[in-house]
Amino acid sequence: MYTGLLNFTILCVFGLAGLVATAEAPDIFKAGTVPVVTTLPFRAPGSASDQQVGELIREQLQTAHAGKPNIRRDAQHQLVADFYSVNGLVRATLLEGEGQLQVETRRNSIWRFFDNAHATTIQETASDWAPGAWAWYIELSIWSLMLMALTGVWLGLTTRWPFWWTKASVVVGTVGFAIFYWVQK
Amino acid sequence: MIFRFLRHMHLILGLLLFWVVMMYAVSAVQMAHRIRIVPVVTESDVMATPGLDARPLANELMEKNGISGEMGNVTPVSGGYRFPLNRAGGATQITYDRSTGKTHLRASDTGFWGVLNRLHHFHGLHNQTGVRNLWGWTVLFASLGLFALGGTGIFMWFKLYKERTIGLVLLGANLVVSVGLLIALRM
Repeated sequence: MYTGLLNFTILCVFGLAGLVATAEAPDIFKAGTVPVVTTLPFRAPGSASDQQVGELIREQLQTAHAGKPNIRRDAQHQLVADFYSVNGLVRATLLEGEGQLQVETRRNSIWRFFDNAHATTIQETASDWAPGAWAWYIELSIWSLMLMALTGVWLGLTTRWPFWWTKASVVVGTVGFAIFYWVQK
Repeated sequence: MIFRFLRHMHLILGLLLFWVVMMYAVSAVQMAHRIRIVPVVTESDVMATPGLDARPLANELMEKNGISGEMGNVTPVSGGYRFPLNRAGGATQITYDRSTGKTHLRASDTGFWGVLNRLHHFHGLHNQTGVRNLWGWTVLFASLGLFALGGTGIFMWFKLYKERTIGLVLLGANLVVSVGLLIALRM
């Protein structure tokens, strides 16, 4: 009960994430929302590698809750740095000839936000405190969820075993999952 | 009366969803701690009917060679094409020569951890196979079940007068910290 009360919110977040996945809520590219595009002056040092330029862009943009950027070159050979965070994507394209950085911000829906939040783990590379703290809360919650499930089943089985619906629930739950496991395997 | 009903519902839901919840929790640990899944790969060649398109070929291989899975994207290669058949515990990459019917099978098996990991990610009600859709319904049931378990749990705790004070402290701490963090994350 105590672990349940301590993890009530995360239980709701996990439940919401399941509903979002089931409903296949559109992601940032399919949602149809127009990205916010801005340009900033930016000059890449002549001797810097793409990775180093990506780091400089990261320092300049200070994108909230984002980790290290994914660096690549697009079809026009322009350097693109993608900053993914729980809130969506910030894509910076270096317009080297013009000395500018084009920044495209795609903010996700609240539903996709919850989906991303449930998948934030302690491997998160974001440098600010909020994703780190949330990731540790998720870590605690994962172990709590296991503890809750195990103690809940133990309590249920030891106190309610004589009831037919207890036995039926155990059989349906166990056999059902076993069938899924074998069929999907 | 209501208390009894909710207590029974809480227990029935908990027992029904126990293995599903454990699957999510254990696979979450695997992902959060990056426990490496090393696939076991086996390769073989078989002869199939020449000149087939990908879907009839997949059906023939499933019937005659006992492989299974959901078809992935078909990619043209010199003289034929290739595509994967994906299942929770691995995948079979099929490379087919259209003129001769020679088919190369590259099967990778990811074992117990792999199955749990894939089950964690499978979702939706519009998949190619009925089994996958049934799993999608299970995910939906489990998601709603989590809300119901939380809600009935809160109700039952509130009815235990002796536990109200400590419960309020725990629930309050949970709400302040987690909602605060969610707001900070969304800003």
